[in-house]
Amino acid sequence: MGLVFTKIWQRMIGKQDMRILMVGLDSVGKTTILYKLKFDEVVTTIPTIGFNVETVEHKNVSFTVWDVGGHDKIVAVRRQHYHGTKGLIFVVDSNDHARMQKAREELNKMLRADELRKAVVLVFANKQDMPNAMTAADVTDKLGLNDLHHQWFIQSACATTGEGLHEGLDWLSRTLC
Amino acid sequence: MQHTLSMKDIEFFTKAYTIMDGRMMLSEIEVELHDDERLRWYSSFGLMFVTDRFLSMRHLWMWASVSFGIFLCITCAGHHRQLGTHISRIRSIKMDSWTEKQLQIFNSGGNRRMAEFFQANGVPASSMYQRYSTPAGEWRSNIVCSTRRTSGVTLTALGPPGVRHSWTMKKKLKRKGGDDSDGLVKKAQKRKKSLVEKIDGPSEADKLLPRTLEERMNARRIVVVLEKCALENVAPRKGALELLNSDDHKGICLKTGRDLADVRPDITHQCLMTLLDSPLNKAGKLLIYIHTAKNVLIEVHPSLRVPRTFKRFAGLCVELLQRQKIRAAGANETLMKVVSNPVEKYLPPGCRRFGMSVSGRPVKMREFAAELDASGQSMPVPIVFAVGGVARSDPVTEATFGANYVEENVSISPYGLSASCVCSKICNEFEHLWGIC
Repeated sequence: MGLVFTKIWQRMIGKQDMRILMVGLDSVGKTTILYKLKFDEVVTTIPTIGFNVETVEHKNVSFTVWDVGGHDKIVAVRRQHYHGTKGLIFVVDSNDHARMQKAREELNKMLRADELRKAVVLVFANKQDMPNAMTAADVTDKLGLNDLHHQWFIQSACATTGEGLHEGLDWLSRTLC
Repeated sequence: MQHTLSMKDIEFFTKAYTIMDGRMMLSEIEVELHDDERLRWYSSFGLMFVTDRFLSMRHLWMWASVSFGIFLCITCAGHHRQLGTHISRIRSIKMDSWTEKQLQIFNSGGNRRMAEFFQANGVPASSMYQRYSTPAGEWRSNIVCSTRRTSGVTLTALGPPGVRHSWTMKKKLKRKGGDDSDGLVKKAQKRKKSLVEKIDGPSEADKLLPRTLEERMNARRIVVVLEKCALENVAPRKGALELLNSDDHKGICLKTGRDLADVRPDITHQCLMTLLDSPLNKAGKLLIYIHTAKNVLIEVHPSLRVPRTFKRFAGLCVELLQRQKIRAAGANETLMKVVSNPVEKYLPPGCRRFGMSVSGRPVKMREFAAELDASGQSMPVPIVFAVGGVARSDPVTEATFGANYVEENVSISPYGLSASCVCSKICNEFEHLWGIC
């Protein structure tokens, strides 16, 4: 009984920790999203070599977001970040029609890993402020999200204005808690 | 392979940097490089230098922009990435895989060549966006073309794009129908305007209209930017979406504490009618941008015919703000579209920019237009006029609207004129000056 109380109490008052991995192809805006969430600022990022990690407080959940660089050689060593990851944020550049296929392959390859079997997937269709940006529906189609076995959610976003980012985290906290 | 670095090289590299990225400094990264083949590859562009101990590897450009065929340091790569992948696509030399096609770009690209191109075309060291949008676009198409040339197809054989289309289409039609090609052409004409364009090329009236951004900016034209227009969608009931205006939505305005004088989309309607119906526009000499109070920038195609009644105009705007673009029925053309801010990036460097404000320097419009035209004879760039599309206040002097890019405010009348009247005055004078009507 006491245990039940503790659990309920924790859910209501205490902060929960959640380890999130943010991935995607290079220059889709992962680092910009991370710092927009953390400091609510638009920073001019340099290409990420290795990773950035920040804790982001959202409602009563504290997300530890690992933002891993998207360059081809780094992707190969990304596997070591998989362990203990409950949620995956996959960022795509909605304006980059040419690399959608590559993004799809990348996502599928990653989700085949055993560590990520139970992870939930949040897709940010980033750069919605661009004139030729695809809609979230188009991105869903291009990435073949409907064929995934994981629980997923797509959110159109714009990292520079912050649009859609918190809606995405809302979904993550609702699904993971 | 050892290259010694001379003073001349340093001069060149620093120069290339200042030309390309203004405030950029050489990158501070320290990298170890053992890959001989890679080194040889660098040096074939005349870029790479492995130096003595003092300067070891500090100037290494480990990043490249595939769109421009140039090498960059990591800081510059960051700034390039901010432009978006449609302008500059950045790859790492060590960490990314490269396709054959991407490598080929570098055969005709290179930092030195681009710097020379920029210098030759008088590209100023102003904002990065300006530098890399219009003039650099030209450079990009240049290098892509020459890549095509190296792969065996000569440019002259291809001809201008429009001509190529008409030639191949006609040939196809002939092969298909023999003598009956006229019948097929007629059938196609019935089907769709875009297909007709492919067969016969654009009509005479359409040829006057500029197609690409570069084309628009390389001639004597007038650009009118309607500032602070009140275009905003509102949902009065569930499921309904309407253009917020002071007649139909008094209640909403009262509730949200907005002044009725600020909610006047009809002013935009009037201005668009004046501008788009003018002979200046029909002659393809006018470009229109609408900057709304909500900071949405809209580009208007010259061939748009504005709906005559306000209700239908409102419907058009609702759709535009919702879907981001309005396409022409039957033809493959975007009549209005939402484009990304700021408006400055669509204005070429060196163009004259004026704000129309009653508090500005008083001028006589006729003399002013003649003077502007005379002073700009040597360089064919547009003249920009910012006009406030509001019922009161002066948006061309406000920081978020006109004041960003306007060089001087002028007043063409001692009376406060309506926006549509100012538009018609601008059109009139330049039509008169350029002998359009």
